[in-house]
Amino acid sequence: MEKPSKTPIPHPRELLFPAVFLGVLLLVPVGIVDFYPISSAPMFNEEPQVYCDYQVVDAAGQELPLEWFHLQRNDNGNPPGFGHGKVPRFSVDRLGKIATEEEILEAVRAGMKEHQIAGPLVVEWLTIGDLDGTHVGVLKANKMTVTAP
Amino acid sequence: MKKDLLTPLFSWLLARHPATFGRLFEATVVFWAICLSTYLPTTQSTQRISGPSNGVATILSWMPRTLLDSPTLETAMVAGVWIVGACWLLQRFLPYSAWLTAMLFTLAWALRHENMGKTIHVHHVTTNLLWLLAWWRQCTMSEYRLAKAQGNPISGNYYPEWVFQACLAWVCIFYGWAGWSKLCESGFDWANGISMQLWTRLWGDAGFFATQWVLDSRPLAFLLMSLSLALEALAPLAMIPLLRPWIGAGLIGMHLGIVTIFGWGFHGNMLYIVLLMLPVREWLETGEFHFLSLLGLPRAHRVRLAGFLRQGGPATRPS
Repeated sequence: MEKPSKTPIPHPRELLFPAVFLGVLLLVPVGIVDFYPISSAPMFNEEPQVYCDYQVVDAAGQELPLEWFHLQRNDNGNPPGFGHGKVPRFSVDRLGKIATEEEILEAVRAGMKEHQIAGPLVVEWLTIGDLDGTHVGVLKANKMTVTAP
Repeated sequence: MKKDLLTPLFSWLLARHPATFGRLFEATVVFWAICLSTYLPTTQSTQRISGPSNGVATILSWMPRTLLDSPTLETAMVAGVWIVGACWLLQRFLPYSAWLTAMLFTLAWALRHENMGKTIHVHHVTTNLLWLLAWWRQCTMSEYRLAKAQGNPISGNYYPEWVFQACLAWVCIFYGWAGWSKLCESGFDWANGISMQLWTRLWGDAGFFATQWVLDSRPLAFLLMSLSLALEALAPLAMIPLLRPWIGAGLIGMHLGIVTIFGWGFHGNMLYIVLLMLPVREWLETGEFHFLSLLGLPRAHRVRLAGFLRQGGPATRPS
């Protein structure tokens, strides 16, 4: 004779948690991009066509940190503004956008004031984008010398 | 009538199977959760920033800022994940160790998000799998105890079908959203090739051969972007067994590219896709490994096809 099982008969109520949980994970991202642990997984959802590489050098030829002059790269492939609790340090750099010379000048001068640097500083920036339909590379190289206002 | 329709569905979802696959998957998820939490204390000085609040970012955003800003609290949560995660791996203090691992892992990463100036997504899949697996262990504790008493703590019948389907569904939802958000933000133009070459130039491993391939060929970059978009947007179709290994293989390929070219920490996600979308569960439950199972064909069709291939033509009935 078969030994009776001591295990309880499964009840459909054990499906309630996964059903509600998966429903939330599926539907909430319709209205909210990122609300950890819920996410619409927006990694790399933009389509940048250009970006800029910056370099700041002082009169002695020493390279200075881009963060000082608001030229650092805040992008990491995720759309900024969602899923992080702090506002990142301001930067004129943004993947897919080319800052104007005035914007760069203003940002560098603000940094010089913050760090009490008289200058002159040499700011160089390269614009990277589609070169020839096959490769990406340097489209334009710019340079300017900035002194404290 | 409605009950008649739901009864076979409930019976299928509630049916118990040998837990071998479930235990392997559980160990993978918990182990990766421990690895991911270890990443937090090693990056406190580089990823956490000070500055004004960016508004609602996580389920903890309602808490006082003084509490959210505490690195000690984050470290304490991580230490908690190590302890209760190890207990879960060793099957001790269940189901409490499972619930606590899910809770502390979620809180540790929520605290990190609250202190970052940009976001990352390497841990979202793991977080929600932990909750689903904790619920499994909660629901089947008495069945597990019985299996343990009978000497079958790993292969006992305490793995409900819904656990596999729910874990698979979550992975499908996550990757589905990854594709849909690209389509919503950029449309089909997203797959233009240039963006991938720019990301590769920016963050790719310059010494790796595939990085140079992508940088040297726009058509290749376009193809990779198109395949990624299609695979992600169609990922929910992996709920259909026939399509599962195909979509799984594609997503694994995509992750191999991401991990090798960019070095981003999606290794865990890749392992989950291997376990859930390739026929690993079937291989473990039947003890049979056959390459034809990778085609996603039901077993009966595979047996016929295997016979056909062995004989080099259709089988003939003996006269």
